[in-house]
Parts: sequence; structure tokens; C-alpha cells
Amino acid sequence: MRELLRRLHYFLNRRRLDAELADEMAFHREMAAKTGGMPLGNTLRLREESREAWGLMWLERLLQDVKHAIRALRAAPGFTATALIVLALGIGASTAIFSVVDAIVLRGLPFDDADRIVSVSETNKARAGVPGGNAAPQNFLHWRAQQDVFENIGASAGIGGFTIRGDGPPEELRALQTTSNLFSILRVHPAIGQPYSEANEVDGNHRVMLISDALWRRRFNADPNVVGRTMTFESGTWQVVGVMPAEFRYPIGPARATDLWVPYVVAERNKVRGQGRSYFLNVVARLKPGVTLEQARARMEQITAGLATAHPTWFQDRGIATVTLHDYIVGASVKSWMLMLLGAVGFVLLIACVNVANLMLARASARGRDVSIRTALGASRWQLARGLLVESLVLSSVGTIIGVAIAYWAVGVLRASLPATLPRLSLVAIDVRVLAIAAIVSVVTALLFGIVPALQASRPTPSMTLREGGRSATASLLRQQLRSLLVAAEVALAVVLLVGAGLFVASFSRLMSVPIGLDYHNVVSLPIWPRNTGKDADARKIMIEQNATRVADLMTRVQALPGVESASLFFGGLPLSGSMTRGIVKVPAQQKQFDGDDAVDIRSVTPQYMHVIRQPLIKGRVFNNADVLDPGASVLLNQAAERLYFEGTDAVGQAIDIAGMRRVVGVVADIRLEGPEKDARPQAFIPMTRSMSGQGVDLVLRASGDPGSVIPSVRSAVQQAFPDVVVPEARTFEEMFNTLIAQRKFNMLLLSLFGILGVVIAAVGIYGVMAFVVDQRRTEFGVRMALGARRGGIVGMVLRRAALYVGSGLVAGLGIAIGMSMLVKSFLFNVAPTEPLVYVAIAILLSAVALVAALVPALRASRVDPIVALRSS
Amino acid sequence: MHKKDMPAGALVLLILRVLRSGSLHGYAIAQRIHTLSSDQLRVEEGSLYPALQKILVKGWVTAAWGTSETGRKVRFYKLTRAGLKQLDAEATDYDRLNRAIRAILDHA
Repeated sequence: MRELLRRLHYFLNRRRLDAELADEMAFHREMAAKTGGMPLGNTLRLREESREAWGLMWLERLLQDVKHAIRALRAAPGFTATALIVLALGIGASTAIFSVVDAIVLRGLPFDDADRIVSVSETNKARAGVPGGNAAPQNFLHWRAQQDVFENIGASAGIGGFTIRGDGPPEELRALQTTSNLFSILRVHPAIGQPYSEANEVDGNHRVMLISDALWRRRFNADPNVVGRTMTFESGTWQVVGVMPAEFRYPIGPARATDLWVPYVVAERNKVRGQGRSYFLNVVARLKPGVTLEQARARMEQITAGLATAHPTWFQDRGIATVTLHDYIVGASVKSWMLMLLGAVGFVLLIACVNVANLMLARASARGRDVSIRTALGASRWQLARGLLVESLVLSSVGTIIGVAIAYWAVGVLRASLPATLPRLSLVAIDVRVLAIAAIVSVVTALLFGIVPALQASRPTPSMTLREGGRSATASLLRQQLRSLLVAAEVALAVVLLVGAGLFVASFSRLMSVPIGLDYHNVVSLPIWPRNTGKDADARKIMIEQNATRVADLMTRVQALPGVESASLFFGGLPLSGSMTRGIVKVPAQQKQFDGDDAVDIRSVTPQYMHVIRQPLIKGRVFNNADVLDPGASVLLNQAAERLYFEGTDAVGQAIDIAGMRRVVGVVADIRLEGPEKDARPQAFIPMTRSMSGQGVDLVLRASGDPGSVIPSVRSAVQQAFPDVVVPEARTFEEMFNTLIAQRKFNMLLLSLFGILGVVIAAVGIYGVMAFVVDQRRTEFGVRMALGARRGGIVGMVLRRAALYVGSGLVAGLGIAIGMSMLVKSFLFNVAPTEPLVYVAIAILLSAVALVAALVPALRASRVDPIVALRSS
Repeated sequence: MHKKDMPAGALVLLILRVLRSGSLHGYAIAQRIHTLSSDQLRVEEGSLYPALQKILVKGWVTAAWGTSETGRKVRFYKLTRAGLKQLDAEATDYDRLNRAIRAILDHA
């Protein structure tokens, strides 16, 4: 250790110490001369050897190489700038994409031994083993009672009713009800206080809460003695038992963090298997030591199979999935999507590397003489190669710094344009982990593009190069072949990227051309959620009645607002929102029984609704005021429902049982409620009842112009009508539509961007090589023209040469693209991975770009003045 | 017998040895080795300075500025405690090696 410090001291003071050493040797020389002693030898070499003894010589050499490299790079600003731009784009794009993939997919969960935490969820039989569903409390209770593979198994679910009402507008807190063992499963302990216990999972003892660090600071001024203090909500007065650590997040992922955690009390009706069932629990567990995930999965499937035998109706179409919590949160489809993006950006980086390697080879040709002289003077091959490698490292380091700056900006753009539904999207950032990866990428990149030119340029051919006036025939021929190979590789890589982009563009344009059946522009929806928690049924009824009156008044006012074209009320899952309400249908006139697969999507609407969303009427009529007065009598079907339930006969006037026996008054056009990718399902509309409108509905309205301009006035009208509720954010149908297509749009834009980058870089490569070839053969062209060759002939010669490189790259690229296209199959919509149109278009596009890139040097070749060319050699 | 060049590693041992009796400058070290060996050993003068640097880095000697017999400012090298220890260790090693070789030469 001491020795190391001494070495460092010597290194840092090497200039002074070296001077002292020189002085000392001079003294030795003087004395030796005086006394007739022995000669000292080569002082310079000895000084060097002495310095070597200090032991940090390699560092000194490195610094020297870096200095040389910087000087050399500055002397060639054109080359340096091109290389830096290409590298910065490649590394910047990779870093940005990596930061997204890392945060969403790769990063582990922030819990101890997180890979031992699993999620248990119920699944749709049709998608057996694919996690994503929630569990019914009855099933959770059985799992918990029968399992023997987990240390603990717990559950959580969102819970409402935690609204802070004060002077200003009310604030709704985000709360999660959890079993008390959740915290031991996650191995997280509150920073202050204690977690609640099993004793709190009993109605009456349950009004205790753990609060988030943020809420603690915001509402309790970070009071260290907060345990025991209370907050009062409409659901009662709750006591704080602890504050969670600042970095604690559960559930992980949503844009808005959870404010408080409260005990989960299983409702009595959920302890028995009665009529209704709902799936709302998120179940997590920690594996017992020694138990593998596969064992746990097998055991849980066995338990569930037993349950299915005992309660067949509960498991008709249900399965179970046991996966790590990480896999549950990330999801297989997101994972493969993200890895696809990473692969695509890898291609961009690879093209960048090949391109810079090419540029460096060109430079090596220009420096051939310099290298030859140094070789002749005794520089070793390693020394020459090392200098070039250091140059590569300097380039890639500077490129990385610029690239990281680009990535910093790009991450913001990516975060805003990725679908907001992606898990852990809020965690995407350029952090230390990402920077470390960028640094590694930087070095690997330098080696990738630096090693070939370094080895090539350091080939020992001194006599040859010196003799032939700086133009070694063999060396430059070899180098030229290498460069042509690199250009072909660049073209091939660009083709693969472009085909990918082409497939995504085709996919997206087909998606956008699907008619979804409604005009979503300028439509705004805003939930109205009045309070309707009365002390008893009667009080609740009165409250709902009052709310209904207020909603009716509100509608009158909203319709009169400037900028509102028409307005309606809606109940059920909004179109394009992804949520739904389904019901079983009976048709008296039909023999056939309709089961769960033939369920109808039911929506309750006011008569104006069809007008607001511009859903065309096919036959019959839409609702009128008479229907409103007798809401149980009529129903509107869509075409899909008419086809399914009436099998081609006219439905209008017929009877159907949808939430009560009704008569079909009309048929409306189909709407793809779940977006362009899913076919329209059978749909029924029933008139909205008064009591429904008092319990919570959506206001759906059409603005006459920009919807953004009417939202504030509509919101304030709702707030005035219901001063004590939190008015949620309004959503436009267009936003919801954009969310549905966000992933495809993102893929299309990003892949197109990558494709364009790839093709531009490849064009630079083609241009560079052809320009070099033309320059090398200047004399030859001059001779040819002197002998009567035509300009067109010369241009053709150069272009044929280019066509050889580009053509071979194109063929190879198309082959690779066909091979790789199966990998993106699952990301495409209505486009085959081998869609010929895409491949042909890309081939034409790339050939055109290559032609332009090669044409410039070719024209230059044809303008060679024979006399000048001949004289100059 | 020809004047021999120094065997590898021995130079360090000799430098340490001649410094045991007091501090010396580089030229004097070379001279002393030369005379003590009755002109039999000749320090490859060049290798003296790299060796000195190595010993300095190891911390076996320290260097301080002083004035030479000719009145010139020059660096004097002085053995440190660690250097003394190293000298003992190396001398012992050398003796052992020497005896071993001698034994082989005598009895083989």
C-alpha cells in the first residue's frame, strides 16, 4: 500500500524527478570524465529505464497516446465530426432504449430476496398459465388454508373512501387494503411505528393505517410522534400506526403512488361461496426456504384442481397462474416487446460501429506513409495498433458523452410517448446503472470499430509503401476489399432495420384504416361520482333521488354551456376505455340458449348518446322521451347482437331478455369498443333510469370545437353541482383511442427513426468508399478518357462497382430480414412477416438511396480532366 | 579473470551493502562497489540508476540533497530500516545459495 502511494507520488512529480535524475547522471558523467572512469551509456534510455522503475510507465504512455490521439483527431476535423455524430447517435439511442428496458423489464424489485416473492392469480382458461387476473376472496381463503409451500400468502386490493375534505377542493387519497402479513412477505418494516397485525383484520379493530413518507410530510409535517394521531374520512376516524420508508412503493408501477395502507377485512359475504362472485384480490406470497417456484406452482394447481371438483361452477372457465412477482408485474408480452426494441437499437449501434470502422480504414489509407515511416524507424506493430486503439477509445468516449446527453433528452420523449399503462414507466431515468452500461457499451464499441483498422493499418509493409510514393498497391487493395465488405455489411444491417420499420408502418396504416364505427374526435367524458353512502337503505334512497335531481339540473346547464354541441349520460364501460359490463341474454323466440360466451355488452344511455358519438342508426329508431319514462321497456341492439340473437331475422319489434324483458326498438351500427384490433361484440343499449343517474355515471359530450376549451367550464359546473366530491380528470375519446394504439404507434415511429438512421449512416458509408475508389483510380480514368472513353461509360463503371457492394449487401440483408421477421410476428397487425410489398419497397428505397450516394463520386470521376490526371502522377 | 558483469539481482544487494556504512551519492556507490571488489566487479554504470529508482520506490533507501566533494549539489542515498532488513534477508539468501552451489561443486 505504502509502495503504491510512493509510486503515485513519483508519477505525479515525474517531471521534476526526471529533471533531477538527468542532473544526477550529468554529475556522474563529469566525475567519470575527471577520473577516467567508465562511460555511462545512453542517458536517455537509462532515464527511461529508471522511470520504468517507478512503475506507472504504462499510465504515462497511455496519457501520451491519448494526447497523440486528440492531436490526430483535431487534425482531421471532417473525419472526427462524422465519426462523433454517428457514434453519439448510436450510443445515445442505445442508452435511451436501455434505460427504458432496464427500468421496465430488467431491474429487480426493491425487496429483500425479491425472486422468492411470487404472485398467485386466477386466469382465464382460454389463456391458461398467463398471469394477469385477480383472485376471488373465497379462493384466496382456500389457498391460504391449504397451501404448505409459502412462508406467508397475503392479498391486497385498492379501496376508496379516503377523501380529505377541508377548506379547499377535496383531495382523494390512494389507499390499499392488505392482509397484515404483506409486510413480512415483502420484508419491509415501517420507518416509524409498527405494521398492523392480524388482530386488525377484524371489523371494528380495522381503523388503523400505515401512511406513506410523502403523506407524513405533507399532512403531519414529518412529526416523529405521529403514531397515535388520527385522520377522519367519511369511512370513520383512522389511527396512524406507522410511517413506511420513503423508498417503499407498493403496488409497484402506477404513476400515482399509494398514500396509505389499511388492514383488509374479509367481508362476511366473501367468506362463503354464494351467488355473486368478484375477482379483485392481488395475491402475493413468499416461497418457503428450499421450495422452488415449480414445486409451488404444482402444489397450487393441485389445490385449485381440488377446489374445482368441490365447486365446479366457480372454476368452469378459470385457471391459476403462479409466477414470480417480477414476471407478474412485467408480463411476458411487455418483456418480449422491450427486448425487441433493445434488439432493434442494437442494430443501429452495430451500423454505427461498422461505419466508423470504415471511416477509420479510410483514414488509415491516408496515413499509410506515416505508419510506414514509423515502422521503418522501429515502432512495433503493437505500438502502432495501440495508438489506433487509443484513438478509437477517445472517439467512443467523447461520442458517449454526447450520446448520454442525447439520451437524457430522449428519455423524456420516450417516457411521454410510451403507453402510460406500461408497468414501472415512472421509474425510467438515466441513472448510475444506465451510465455504467453506457460506459461499457462505449468501450465495446471502440473495440468493435477499432480493432480491424488497428490490425489492418499496422500491417508491416514499410518498403513497399515508401517506394511507391505513398500508394501501396497491395495494402490499399486489401484495405479496399475490406472496406467494400464493411459497406455491404452496413447495407445489410440497414435493410434489416428498414424491413422492420416497413412492417411496423404497414401494420400501423392497416390499423388506422379499420373503421371503428364512432366519431371519437371532440368527444369528452367526465365521471360524476356523487356520494351515496347513506346510514341505511332509506337514507341512501333519498340521497340517490337528490343526486338524480342535481344530475338532471347539471345536464341542462352543461347543454347550455358555450362550446358544447350535445351532451348525454352513460353507464357501463366507456367505448375505447377497455372496461365493460356484460350480461346473459335470453330470446323467447329462439330455441338456442345463449351462455357466457354469447354475453352481451350492456350500456345504459340517455337518448342523446347516439347523437353525441355519431353512432349510425341502421333501422328502427333511437330512444325518445317515452323510453325515458318507461326505461324497462325498450332496448337498442347493434348489428352484431341482431345477427347473433336473431340469426338473420329482423330484430326490431321482437322481445329479448336483457336485464328484464324488453322490446327491440332499433338497430345501430357496430362499434369496435375495444379499439380497431378487436371485432365488434354484441352490444345492447338500455335507457338510463333515474336511480342509475343518481349513483354515478359518465357525462359524455361533444364539443363544437377543441374539447380542451370546454373541459374547464364543464368541470366547474360539475363541482358546483356536487361541491363535496372530487371531480376526476376529464378524458377525451381521442386520448383513449390514442392509448389503445400507443404501442403500435410508438413501435412504428421508433423503428422508422432507427430505419432512417440506419439508411443515412449506410449512405455515408457508400459515399465514402466510392469517393475513395474514384480518387484512387483518378489516373486510370484519365487514361481511359484520353483513349476515348465516354463520360457515361466512366459513370457506369463506378456505378457498377457500387452496385456490386450494395447489391450483395441488399441480398444478404433481405435474407437476414426474412429470417428475423418471424421474431416480430406477434407485434404485427394484419401484416404477414414476409409481406412481399414491404420487402420490395425497401429494396427499391435502399437502391435509390445507394444510387444517389454513389452517383456523386461517379459524376466526379467522369469530370476528371485527362491532362491534369496524367500530369499529377 | 575478466572483469565480470553483475549477476542479476546482485546489484541491489551490493548497493544496499555499501550504503550500510553511510549515505553516498550515485557515482560514489559505483566507485565503492568497484574498489571493494578489488576491481573484479564492474558496475554497469547505466544499470545503477534504474536500480536506485527501484530501491527508492520500494522504500529501502531515501534520497536527500547534499554537496559532493567537488562542491556540486547532488543526491545522497541513505539506507532505511526497511532497507537494512532487506539487506539482511538478501545476504542470508545469498549465503545459503552460495553454500549450496559450493557443496555441489565440492562433492559432485
